[in-house]
Amino acid sequence: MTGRAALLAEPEPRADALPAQDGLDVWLVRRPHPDRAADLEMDELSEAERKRAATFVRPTDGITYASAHIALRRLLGAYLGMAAADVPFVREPCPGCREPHGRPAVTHPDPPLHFSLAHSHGMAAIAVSKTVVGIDVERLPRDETVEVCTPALHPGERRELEDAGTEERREIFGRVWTRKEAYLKALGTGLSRDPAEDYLGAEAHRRPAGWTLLDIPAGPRHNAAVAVLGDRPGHITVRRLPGEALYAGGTVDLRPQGAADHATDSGA
Amino acid sequence: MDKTAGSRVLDELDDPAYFEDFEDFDDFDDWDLDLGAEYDPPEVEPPSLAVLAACTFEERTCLIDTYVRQELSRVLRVPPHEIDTVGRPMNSLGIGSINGLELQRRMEAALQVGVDLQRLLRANSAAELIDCLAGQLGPEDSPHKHGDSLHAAAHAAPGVL
Repeated sequence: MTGRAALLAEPEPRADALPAQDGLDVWLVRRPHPDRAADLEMDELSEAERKRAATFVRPTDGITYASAHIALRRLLGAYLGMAAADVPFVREPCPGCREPHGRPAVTHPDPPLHFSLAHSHGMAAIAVSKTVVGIDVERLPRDETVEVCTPALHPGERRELEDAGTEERREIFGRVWTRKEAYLKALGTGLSRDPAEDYLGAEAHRRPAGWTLLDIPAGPRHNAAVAVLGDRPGHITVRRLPGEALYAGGTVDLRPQGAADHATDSGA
Repeated sequence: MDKTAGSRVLDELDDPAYFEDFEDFDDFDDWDLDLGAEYDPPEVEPPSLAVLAACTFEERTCLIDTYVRQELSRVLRVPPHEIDTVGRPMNSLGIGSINGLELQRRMEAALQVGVDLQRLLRANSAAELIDCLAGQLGPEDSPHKHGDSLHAAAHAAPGVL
């Protein structure tokens, strides 16, 4: 995609389509039923994306991946005023070695448009903002997974899990982990940074300074969270992308319907 | 609540009943359940560290292949022999960040060796992970001891988001 991006003109975002300066748009995408997989607009994906979608062992994971990437391209295309297939993705420099395999981004739009994408077991989540942002969504972990993974967390997070009842632990671990991965994605390090280094537990004042962490309700089987650089955005919208928007001929409507943009206090 | 609305703002985010009402939104795995009961993986038997250190690189690779398949089977809930260790990157097998962390911690505990989580997640195949472990677990003078194939994987531009 990077090579292709170099051949394209820089995007000219539509001012009326972009999130507000202090805004954050979050989109939740559901994997379509396998019976509708053939209707997904695969032609809008790059060759690498199509190949990748075909490599998943579980066909439903491939459908989730393809749905997430079609949604991302169509959403960014709508924000930037261009065709989904032409969205010029690039890789930012790696924070560790400065080579171009860091956080995915779009080619230098002015004003900047930041995005983050995550997907897990049937659900994708996309965050779009004018400031640095990271998002994560995860299916609730099994009990034994929580037991094995908890020692890898920050001591403060471990204490919160140890103090919780058995029933609560999966949910709490999911919340902590999605905040952590959202933060590490926004930071640009990903999981090359030790998960034990930063506290992303329930006490907001102990979390990394200069960042806002928001929990995003994602149904009873998933956790989702967003990390945004700076203060809490003044306008946060969380929307479900309709399934039809992923299919051939489908379009994305960026306008909130039935309600004005509004802030939601979804922090822990 | 109009369930047919499109990109409607979800304005009941603090209401835990919201998604219960939004019934069709959270049934992601309905069709997975149709595939039958979840596979019950066999007990994992880690190889002896002494044996690993004493055998040839090829023998060690074989032992670790068996072990890693067992761990992947436990994490992914699929039979060990069905796991494609050669042709697919780890996330295409179904390894995400949380079960990747579980895999890392289980392998570190069993093999007493450090496994970099980011490198594990970005490995181009399970075979790359197996080769790396086979190198790390050899005798001190093994030319594979400091193999860094997973480091290379971590720094290979994936070209796909």
